[in-house]
Amino acid sequence: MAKGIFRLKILTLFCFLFFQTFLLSQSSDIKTETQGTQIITEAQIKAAGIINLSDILLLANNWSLSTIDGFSKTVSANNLSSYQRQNFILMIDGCRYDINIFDVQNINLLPVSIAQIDYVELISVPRIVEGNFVECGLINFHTKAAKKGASVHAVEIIGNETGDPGPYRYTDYSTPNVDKIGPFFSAGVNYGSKNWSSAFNFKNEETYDTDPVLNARVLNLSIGGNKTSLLSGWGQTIINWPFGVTQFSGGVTKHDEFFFFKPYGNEIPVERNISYVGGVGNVILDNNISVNYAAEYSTNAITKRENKINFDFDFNLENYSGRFEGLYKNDLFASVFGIGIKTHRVFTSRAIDINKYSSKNIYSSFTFAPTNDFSQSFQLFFQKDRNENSIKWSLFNCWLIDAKNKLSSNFSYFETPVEEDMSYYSWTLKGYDISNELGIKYNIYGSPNKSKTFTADLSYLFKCDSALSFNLSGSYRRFANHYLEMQPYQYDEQTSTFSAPIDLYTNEALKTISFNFEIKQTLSPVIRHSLAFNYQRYIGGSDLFKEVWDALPNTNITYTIEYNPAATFGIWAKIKYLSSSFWYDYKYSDVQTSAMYGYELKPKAVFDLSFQKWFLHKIIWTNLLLRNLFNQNERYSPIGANLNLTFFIQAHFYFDTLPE
Amino acid sequence: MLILYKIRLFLILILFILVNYYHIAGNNTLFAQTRNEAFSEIKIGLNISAKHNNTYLNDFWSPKTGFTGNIETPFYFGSITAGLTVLPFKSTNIKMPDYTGQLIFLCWGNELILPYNSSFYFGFKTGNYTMNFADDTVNTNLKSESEFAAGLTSRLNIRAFNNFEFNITGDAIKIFTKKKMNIIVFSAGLNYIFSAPAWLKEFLD
Repeated sequence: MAKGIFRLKILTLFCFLFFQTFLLSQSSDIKTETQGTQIITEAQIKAAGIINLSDILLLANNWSLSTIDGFSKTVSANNLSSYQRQNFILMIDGCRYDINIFDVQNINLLPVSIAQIDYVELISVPRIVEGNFVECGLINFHTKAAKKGASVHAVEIIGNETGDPGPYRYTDYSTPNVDKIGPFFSAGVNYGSKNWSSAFNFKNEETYDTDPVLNARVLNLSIGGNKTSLLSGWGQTIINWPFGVTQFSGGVTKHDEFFFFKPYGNEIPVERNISYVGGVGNVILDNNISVNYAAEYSTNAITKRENKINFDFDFNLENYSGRFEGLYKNDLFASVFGIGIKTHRVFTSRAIDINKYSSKNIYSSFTFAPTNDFSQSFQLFFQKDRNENSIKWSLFNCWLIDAKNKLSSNFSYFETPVEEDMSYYSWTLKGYDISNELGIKYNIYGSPNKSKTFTADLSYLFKCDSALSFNLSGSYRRFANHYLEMQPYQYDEQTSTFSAPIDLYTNEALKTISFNFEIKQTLSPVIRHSLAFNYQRYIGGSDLFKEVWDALPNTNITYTIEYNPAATFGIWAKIKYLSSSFWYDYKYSDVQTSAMYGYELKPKAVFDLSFQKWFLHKIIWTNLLLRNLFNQNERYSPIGANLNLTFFIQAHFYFDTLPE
Repeated sequence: MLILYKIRLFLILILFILVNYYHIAGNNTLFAQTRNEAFSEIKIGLNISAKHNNTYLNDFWSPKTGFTGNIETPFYFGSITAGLTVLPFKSTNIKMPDYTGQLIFLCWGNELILPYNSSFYFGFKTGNYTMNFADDTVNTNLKSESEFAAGLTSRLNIRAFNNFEFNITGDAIKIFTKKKMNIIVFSAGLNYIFSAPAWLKEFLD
């Protein structure tokens, strides 16, 4: 029956494509549109003194984030998911990096460095991008194009969180030491010519889990102290053919870290290894027709780092994927038709029921622009997984009312089988089971089915003039058939650890709304500022889902001001307000620890101040960032570090004109 | 106390905005940077420095005389200074080791022109305060500790002869250890002023 329905859907898709072909003979101009896309440029990253890839999300307007160690982030893009599912997509120059493991995606594992970023594209409305249906947001890091000839760059970053004991450690006021942050070092070399270019980069980042709320828990299993160390290498070659472009790239990362494994409730010392190699490109057949192709291979492993219980996840996931797209565009419309396949293989010495499975997809996008002022885009995506088929679509409309006013909307619906998730629960269904070794116990209520999500986004942009713009937007989300995990942790004072059985509830539903506005103004040639306001809340659904959703702050206000009195010097300041959030998994530890691990994160207003200065005709760039200048209580998780006032110093060296 | 601290920070911000307003509006004739373009001259200073306030630290350590060396140049607005202050602390208790505090700092401020070849400088100072303990009982990593420091500085300059000027400086610095250390340092010394060489101006600009 299911197969029959799927075939019917395929037939419908081909009818749709036939309709597109019928329209090929007409023509007019097409307007591209990017609702729900935020671009963060290199200039913004530098002005804010961002030190690593995941911190770029601190500049994202409608992305909520949580962190335990201050470096790895858990995100919710534009209220598209709770913190429990981390299915957002990560890309470098359009190449997908599958680094999600057990619902943890540490963006810093990506093998490029902050100095290589040209701009970051944050997509937060569901749509098809590079053959993927973006359900929970997408972050695409675009690296700088290699300049003609050889060039090299190097970066050194150090930081220091305040709160050391100083000489008081010899007195009654002695407190634990708070170690330095870093050094973060990276270096790269690029070569560019008319028809090809290459880039290579090395990255090393070291951090320490020294915060008192974290340290004791980490040291419970750690043998080698509290240091984490990350090593990455990345390379890319782009060839410009007369008929198109081909991009080959590859990267590896090894990270010795303390992996917060939520079902276990604590950090486990692990070695994370990821690798990627792939080729993507396009062939332009004529002015109207082109094809895109991609062939990618990646690994995503979590293995053993010395620990007191001799535990090894022993999990290595290999992914092979291929994609082929045909594009047709003329002045009236543009259409895309694509197919993709992805195969996953798991290597582990543990017994596993399903160690290889594939998903196949077929998709189409049709953008219709009957006038210069209006465009409409419909995207359809079918996916066939091992046991289930799913359908996803989005409908986008854009109306350019006049030169100053624009109205756009996006509607989407998508189904997500449990198999698509990278949660530990999803892997237990495939037979990977470490529950006995770690004392994890599941109580499952009901039978999980594929989840169904409907989204609606409306956006109005008013550009008063080149110096002032307003953006108003609102969204609606309806989640159905989601599974949720509740874990009422108990705190063990002897070991400073948490534990709890996992209660997994199925068929949970929620409806949410949000309202956002952003004002950007250029006050003078040297001063510009912006104000962003986001408010979101649930308007219906199950009590359980509401509790999970309460971990996202309702209100988020960000004011940013930039002052650049000279081309080589700038000051940037940001104040960010976040309303309180509630983490019901920690309601017992709140009482047990006298609110040291409290379930409520109080509202906070954090002030950051950054100074940047170029030297020697823009060869040397330096930055001083004072984060949390007023030393407020800044925590993003009940069991996470309190990010005290911290200063970071960066020095970047760019030698763009080396002798040939 | 926390409220007072926040009020103080707020007042500093207001001061900062006001100074910038003067710069933006062009009403900065009272300020010294109108005389010099950015990085056009260099002022090298060497001062004798001493901590002067009485804090909890004094129960265990006796501050000794140290020194400050700095280099200053006009900035796009005001002037910017980089320097080092070294202050030794002698233990008064056999259980406590001696230590030397070294503040590597950056300072931004502005000079107000006064009569009789004098000027008054005020600004913000921020830096890294390193404490080197003469403690052989701990491992190498714990012999040195560094912490963020920030505060206010003010200075009276009196042009003495040719390119030399005397200065008397007062710094109020907060060191952001877990239990904050507030130190007040007075310094006195000599500055030497000269035009910046072209290569240095090229580097800085």
